Amino acid sequence: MIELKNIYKTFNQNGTHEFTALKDISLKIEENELVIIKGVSGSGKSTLLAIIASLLKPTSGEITVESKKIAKLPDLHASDFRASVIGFIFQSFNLFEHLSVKENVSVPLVPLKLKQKSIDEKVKKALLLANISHKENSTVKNLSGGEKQRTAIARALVNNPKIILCDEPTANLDQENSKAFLKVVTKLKEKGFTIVIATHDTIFDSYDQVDRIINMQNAKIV
Amino acid sequence: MDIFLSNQVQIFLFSESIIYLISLIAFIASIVIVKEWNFNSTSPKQYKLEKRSFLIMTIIVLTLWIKIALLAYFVYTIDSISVLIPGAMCAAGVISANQYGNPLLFLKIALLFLTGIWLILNSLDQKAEDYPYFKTKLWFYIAVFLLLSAEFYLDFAYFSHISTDDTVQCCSAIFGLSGDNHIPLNLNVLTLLAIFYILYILTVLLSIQRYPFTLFVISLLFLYFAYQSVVHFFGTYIYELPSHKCPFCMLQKEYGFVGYFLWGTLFLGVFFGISNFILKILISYEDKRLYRFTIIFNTIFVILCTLYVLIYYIRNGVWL
Amino acid sequence: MKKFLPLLTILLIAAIVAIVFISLSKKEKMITIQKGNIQKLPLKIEKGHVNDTECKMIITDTTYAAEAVAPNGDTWFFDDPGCMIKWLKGKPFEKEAKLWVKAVDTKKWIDAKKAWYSLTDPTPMHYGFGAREVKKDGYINFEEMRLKMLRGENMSDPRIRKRLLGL
Repeated sequence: MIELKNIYKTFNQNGTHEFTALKDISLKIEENELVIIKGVSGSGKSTLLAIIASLLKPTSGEITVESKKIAKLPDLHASDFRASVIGFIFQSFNLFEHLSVKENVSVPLVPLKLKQKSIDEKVKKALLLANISHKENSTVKNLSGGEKQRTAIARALVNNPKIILCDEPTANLDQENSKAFLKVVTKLKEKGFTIVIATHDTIFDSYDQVDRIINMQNAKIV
Repeated sequence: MDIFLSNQVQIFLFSESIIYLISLIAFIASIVIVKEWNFNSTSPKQYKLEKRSFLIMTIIVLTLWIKIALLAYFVYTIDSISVLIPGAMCAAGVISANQYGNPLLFLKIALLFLTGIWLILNSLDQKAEDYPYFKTKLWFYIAVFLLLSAEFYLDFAYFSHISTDDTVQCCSAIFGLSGDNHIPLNLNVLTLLAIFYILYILTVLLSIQRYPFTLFVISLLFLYFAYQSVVHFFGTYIYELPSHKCPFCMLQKEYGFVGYFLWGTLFLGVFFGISNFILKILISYEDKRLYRFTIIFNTIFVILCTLYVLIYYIRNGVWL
Repeated sequence: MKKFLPLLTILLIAAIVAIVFISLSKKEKMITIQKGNIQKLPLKIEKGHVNDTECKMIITDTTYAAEAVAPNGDTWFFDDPGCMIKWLKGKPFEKEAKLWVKAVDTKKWIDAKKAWYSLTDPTPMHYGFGAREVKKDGYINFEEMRLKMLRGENMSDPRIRKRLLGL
């Protein structure tokens, strides 16, 4: 499902601030696996997720997701791939504060030029899955941290992706909301999603749904 | 050299120079990319090339579209400087002002077609995920660039050799019966028109049946005979003067700039007619939409030409 | 339809080939020079069948026509006296040639060297020299016209045109 071979990622190559975020990363993630990528800030977790999501291209190496060599895809194709295969939950949620929950969740559907009825159906389904239906007309800026998190989850699910990537999903949540997040993740795993979570939150240490923990240190897997 | 004082000439040559410079940069980059390109490689060099190629292709697309627009501006320029050249009443006289004019115009038209082919190639290549036509289109661009260089040289050679003192021939002299451009093959107007309409019908039939090579040949013949038909027959109905035979005067304001539309539809129809064969040779690809466009544009062109004749007859009750 | 279209295509291609072959056997004739005019008279110009030797235009309007007859009777035709002057320059019979022009006022063929010339007529090649049999104010003689023509001081020059028309 996801396979990385000898991935390197260097920023500002040959420049004065050259920085290697990933060094010789090779790993395989099977379908329906829940994988935790653990490491401190700066260990390369977010960069790794961005490369799996085709948001970044590696400096060298090969990455295959759902049989596609995504690093070789031209930008337009990479965007199409990302829209249909990947659901990304960002650390700071990246929601439009002035829009409602429903509007935020429908944003990924805009480029698909679907009919309104079809959009409404998909949004409804995603809100239900993320447990945020009761807040669909609320403006995001009026939501709590947990509710924003669930809105971000709904948005990640609306296109029915195969893979969910979460970058520090509990970083801005309290204990109670973090546990609520874990419940949503459990539900998603039961539904067959492949989930990769980059985190240094210890709440995942005792989470029984985790199939594998990958430790990263200084841009390498240890 | 007085001709360089004309605003239109300055704008045209300046634009051509900028576009040529940008094309040159793209050319140099293309040479590097085509030498090193290996799509299956996952090395840092290949990823860099892929990133750079996106920029270079964008630059090439932009410059080629501007080149297409510059052809129209070139025609407008030579038409507008006809007042400065004794004997010239339109672009016809200006283009024959020296030995560079006609070769330059033919090269520009040839480049128009080649540019179109490259744009289709690029579009097909970018729609695919694995750049299947990448090297082919780069080599094609390299070849096009060599012609662009010849065109650039001819642009300056042509304008620098236009004299505002020497008289040139006007369109009647050039395109009249005793000029160098009388109806070819000793045809008369009726037989010329017969060939024109038969060739048009053939382009439609061959597009329906999808014979790219035959359509290629017939399209080029259609271009030639359509040009002759417009000059020797249809143009006279546009000008409403039987002795006025000129492919350029109809580009002027007096005739509603209909020339741009007329020649534009003809060039498009012929372009789509020849492109499937060229694509088949280059990348073994055939697109049925191109056949459809051939029919559409050739039909618009033929209808427009015929309408001028019919409307004249309906209004005046006689043929010219 | 499957057999009909290819058949029709072949028939049409054959038709084109046939038309071209038949047409190739035809001829077109255009008069540029008329020989045998020993009497050096002005010859009738058949509109649409004679072309101006200098600018190659077909003469469709004889209002400003001109003719040059060489001592041996060879006659050349022009749609504009200016064309005749340009063409004549440097010819071995330049001085001996008999020159005729169509007078705009009397519509008769007259001796070009005895005619008077307006400077601002709408002549076919825009040189402006229209011939007259009767002299009027502002008209110039043949020699002056010839010199102006050869020096480029005629209506085809935008500056001269502006000055002459008072624009």
